[in-house]
Amino acid sequence: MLLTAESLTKAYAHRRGWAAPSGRAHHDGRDAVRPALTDASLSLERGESIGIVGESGSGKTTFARCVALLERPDAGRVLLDGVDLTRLRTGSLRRSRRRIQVVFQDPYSSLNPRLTVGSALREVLLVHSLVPRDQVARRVATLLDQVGMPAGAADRYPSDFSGGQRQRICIARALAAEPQVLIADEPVSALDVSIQAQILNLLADLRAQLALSMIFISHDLYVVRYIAPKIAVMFGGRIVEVLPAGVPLEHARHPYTQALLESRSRLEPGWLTQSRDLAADLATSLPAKGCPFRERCPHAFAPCRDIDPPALDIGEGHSVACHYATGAPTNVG
Amino acid sequence: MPKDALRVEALTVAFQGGRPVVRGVSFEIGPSEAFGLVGESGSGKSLTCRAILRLLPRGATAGGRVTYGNRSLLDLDNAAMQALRGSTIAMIFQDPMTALNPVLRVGDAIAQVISSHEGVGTRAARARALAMMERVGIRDAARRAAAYPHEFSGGMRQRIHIAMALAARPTLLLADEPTTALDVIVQAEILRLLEDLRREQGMSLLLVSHDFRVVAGLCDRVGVMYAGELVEVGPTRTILQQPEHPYTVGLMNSLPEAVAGERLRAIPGAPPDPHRLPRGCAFAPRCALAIDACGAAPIALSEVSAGHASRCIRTDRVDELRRGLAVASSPGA
Repeated sequence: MLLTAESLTKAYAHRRGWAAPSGRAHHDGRDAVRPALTDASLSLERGESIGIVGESGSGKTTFARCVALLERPDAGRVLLDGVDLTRLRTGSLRRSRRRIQVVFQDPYSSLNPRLTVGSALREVLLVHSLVPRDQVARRVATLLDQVGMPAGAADRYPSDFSGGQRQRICIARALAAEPQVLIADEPVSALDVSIQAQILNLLADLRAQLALSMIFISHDLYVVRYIAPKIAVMFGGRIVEVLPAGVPLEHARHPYTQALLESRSRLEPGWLTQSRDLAADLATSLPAKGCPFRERCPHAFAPCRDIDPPALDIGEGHSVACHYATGAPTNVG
Repeated sequence: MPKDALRVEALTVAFQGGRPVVRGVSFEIGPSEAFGLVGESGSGKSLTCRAILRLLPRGATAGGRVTYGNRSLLDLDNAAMQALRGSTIAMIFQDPMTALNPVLRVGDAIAQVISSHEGVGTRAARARALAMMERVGIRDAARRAAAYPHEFSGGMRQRIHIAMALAARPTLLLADEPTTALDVIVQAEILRLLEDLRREQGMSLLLVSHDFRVVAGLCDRVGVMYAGELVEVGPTRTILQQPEHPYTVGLMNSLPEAVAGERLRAIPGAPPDPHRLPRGCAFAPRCALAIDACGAAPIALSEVSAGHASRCIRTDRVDELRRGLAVASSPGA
């Protein structure tokens, strides 16, 4: 296994106004802080791509940041080729970091406006001593070519380029580090529809040509499916379902995944009247205890209120965290 | 009250000293009809929408004709226009925070709309505000009316924004990307609410979106904008099933859910700079079907079937794009 994330958990401190941070739980537990990420485990084989889908606040970006060690998880391990990155000290972590690269959502804020595209790429190559000095220029040209940019782009600044082109540059910069894992966090969400398709095709091509291992994150299930055969669905800081390659979306068992799938026919006129309401925006915050999805779930029953459902394998790597789908625990109490 | 039709004729919008960025847009929205405008950023769809209520950004001026019933909106004096806004024609925006006053309790904000447009007393206005909040799905409205906008989630805020816009019972609603900032499932719920309210009040709707799926859910007819012009207009069902403009086909082919399992046929290149538009078809440089005649002279919007028009002289060949026979090449975003 190339990369294994084991039981990653990350909570952010909440402050209430000017008062001291309050750990006091409200009577229904609502004010108790639900971690941004709870017990999230996922593994990635060499050359494999995994897609992560979830709504805003579902923990998908926190997961990515913890895997890339841009954020230290509170608990859990990140194993890259058997080495636990969470135990590395600053120096060796910096050297390992090269091996996991991230492409972010906003290509405008992730490039230094005062560096030419060429110097941004050269910096990566030199910092990590990836190619001999006399070959740096050639490597820069190759990288630009790989992402479909003209060689002349090297001498220009990010402001000369459109959003789609900037995202190509960000991808080239990530590839410059010769990563073992590429994490793309909503890489097309800030782009127009017609440009999105160009970037999605580019990522799909690079994955095939360079045998990249990739974690691809998006809020759009169909975008994720286009890039990655294996899909992890996140909700409320947990991975609630993992659909391995080969299992069709229609076989999803978690009610949240099924709700996402209802948007399938959204190119059909009149889809709106055929789908059902989950009252998704009516819950002000997620319940701190039990299944995070229970207040929106059409199938919720008693155990969902008290016990956070564990992720259970229901065969061939298809795992789901849902009492309704897997049968409730019998030894309640 | 007799219902009115909105008629937009040869609308142009230009910024000081610049070339027009909305170029001769014409369409009509019948009483109780829902019309969608689809386009990418910079296509002029939002400016078209804002020009109707004369809410253009500073420095932009509108030309052409906009009539609602027997009123010529671009010629009304400011006082008459102000009286019309909110009471007869209302507008909702992508980000409800920009429309809601952050220091006003939401109940008061809604009541204010009612009392200022209908001259009813505070008590009556408050009662109607509460009823409106309940109608848009806010539980415990009496208590929530005293809350401030920041105390609500994005979806709830959009519900309050809708309550405010519809409080004075307008007959035409302009909605500019009303669900773009929301998660997929919440988005469907807000759209469903809009649809229900529209039917109840017999309101006409102009919905602006970059997303064909949103328009498919709500609109009877749709116009597709590119580089400031309408390039295709017709019944939603017809356009989704048989688009007759290469750009519309390209937009559909860019959606992973429209082309399940196939490689995305992305539109190459990027939209043109409004100050350097080609003489003929603005889409020709990106179009797989373009011939010399396309770039030679402006192309008229011409009818391909009843009520369905396309600004293209190659409609006899568009079928090839729909079947993916003519694949455009040339990389670069």
